[in-house]
Amino acid sequence: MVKWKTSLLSIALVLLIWQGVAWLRLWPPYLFPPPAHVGLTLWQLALSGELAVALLHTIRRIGLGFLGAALGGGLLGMAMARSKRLSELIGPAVQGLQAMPSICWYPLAILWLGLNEGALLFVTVAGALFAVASATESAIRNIPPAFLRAGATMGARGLQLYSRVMLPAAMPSLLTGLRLGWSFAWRSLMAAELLFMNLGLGYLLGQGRELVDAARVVAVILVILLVGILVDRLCFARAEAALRQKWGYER
Amino acid sequence: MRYPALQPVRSQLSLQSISKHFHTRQGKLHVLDGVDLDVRRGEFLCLLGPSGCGKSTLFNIIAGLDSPDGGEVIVEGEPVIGPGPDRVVVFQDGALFPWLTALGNVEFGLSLTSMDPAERRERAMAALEMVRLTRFADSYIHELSGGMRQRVAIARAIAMEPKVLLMDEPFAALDAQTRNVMHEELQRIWTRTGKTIIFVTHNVSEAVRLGDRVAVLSFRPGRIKREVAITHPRPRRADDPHLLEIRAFLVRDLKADVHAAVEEELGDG
Repeated sequence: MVKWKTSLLSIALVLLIWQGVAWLRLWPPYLFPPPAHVGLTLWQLALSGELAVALLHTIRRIGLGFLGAALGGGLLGMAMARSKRLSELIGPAVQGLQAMPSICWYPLAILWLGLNEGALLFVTVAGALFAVASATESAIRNIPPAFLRAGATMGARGLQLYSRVMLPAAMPSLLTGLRLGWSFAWRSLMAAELLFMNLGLGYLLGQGRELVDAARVVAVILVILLVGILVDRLCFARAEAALRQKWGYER
Repeated sequence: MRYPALQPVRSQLSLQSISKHFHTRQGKLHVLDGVDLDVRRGEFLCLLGPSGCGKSTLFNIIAGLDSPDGGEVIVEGEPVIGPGPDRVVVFQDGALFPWLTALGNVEFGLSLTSMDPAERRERAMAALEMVRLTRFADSYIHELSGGMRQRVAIARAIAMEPKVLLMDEPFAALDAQTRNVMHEELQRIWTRTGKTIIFVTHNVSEAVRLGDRVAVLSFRPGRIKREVAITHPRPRRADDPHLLEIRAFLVRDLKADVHAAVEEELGDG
C-alpha cells in the first residue's frame, strides 16, 4: 500500500518537473509539449482507433515472439543442462549471442525472410532466446540434488522427473530468466518495429517523428512504458511473489 | 501363516558382499569391503558407524542411488538396479518439496502411479494421521518446524507402502528434545505398520533405542564388524538401564573406529 503511494508520488514529481520545464518555454511546444498536450494527443490516438490497432499488432507480435523465445530457449537450456558436452560446445556461443543487441539481426532477418512479420519475429526471438536458454540451464543445474534423489526414490522417471520434480524445483530461477527474456524481447521488438514501419507501437512512434509531432512521440512512449511495466508488474512480479510466499522466501 | 514356526526365516533384503572404492589423490580408498547383511521382514535394523565410515555410501547403494563395485543388493529375490518405490527413503533434511503442501508431498509418490485420486487422497491422509499431522495437511513446508517436516517425510514414505523403509539419519538435524519425541513416534509407527526399516545413524543411543538389531560398520575397510540383537520390549525409554549397558558396550566397541575416522579427517600421517 505504501509502495503504491510512493509510486504515485514519484509520477507526480516527474509531471511537475515536466510541466515546470514546459513553462520555461526553452523550446517550442511542438518540440517540448507540456503534459496536458500529450494527454490530449493520447486521447485522440485512442479515439481514432490508431492506438488500438497498433497495440493489437504489437501485442500479437510480442506474444508470439516471447512464446517462441521461452519455448526455444527453454528447450535449448534443458538440453544444455542435460548434456555437459553440448553445454561446453555451445555454451560460449549462447553467452556471446546473449550479449549482442538483437536489432543487429534485423538486416539478416530481412535478407532471409523478407520485409515482413517473420523478420520482426526473428529479431524478437533472437533478442530473448539466448538469455532464456542460459537462465534455464543454470536453473536446472542448481536444483538441489536432494530433490532429484527424493523424486527418484519415489519412482519418478524420465518425463515425470522433468515435469513433476525438475520443473517446479527450478521454477523460481526459471521465472527470473523468463522475466529477463520478456524485457529483452520487448526492447528488441520496439527497435525492430521502429525500423519496420508497418503497424504496431514502434510505427506510431516513427510516424510522430515524420509529422514533427513530439506530443505524439511522447504519448506513444508513455504507452510503451506502460505496457512494459504492466506486464512486468502484473504477470512476473505477481507470479514471483506467489512463488516466494509458497517457498517461504519472504522476509 | 498357519504354522509360523515352520516358516523358513527368509530375509526380505539382503546385501551380498557389497564393495565400493573411490579413487583419491592418496590412492584407492576401500570404503566398503565385502558387506554382508540380511534383513528380515518387519525387522527394525539400525546400521551404526562413525562419520565417514561409508554408511551413507552403503545407504545409497541400498536405495539404488549409487551402484556397488562388487556384490549385490537383493530385495525379495530381485537384484536392485536403481532407485524405486519399493525402497522409499527418508533423508536427513527431509528433502520435502517446497512447492507442495504437506498433503501434496505425501501424495507425490502415489500421484506418479495410476492410482485413483480419491484413493490417493485417502491413503495420504491416513499417512498424515499416522504421524499426527492432519491439521497441517494444507501447510507449506516452510511453515512447519523441523520435527514436523520429518513427520511429513515419514508420512510421504509410508504412504507409498514400500517393502523397505530406508532412513538416513532422519533425526540428526533435530534438537535433543524433538529427537526424543521422534524416537517415541517412530517406535509407535513401526509397531503399527510392521514395516521393515533400515535406519542409518552414527548415534549409538538412537541405534540401541530403536533397533531390533544393531549392525556396526567398521571404519576402513567398511565391514559389518558386529551385530547386536536387542530384544528389549517396546516402547523403550531412552534411560532404560539395560539399553544403557548395551550402549556403553557399543561405544567401547566403536572407540578405535571413531579415532581412526577423526585422525583421517584431521589429515596427519
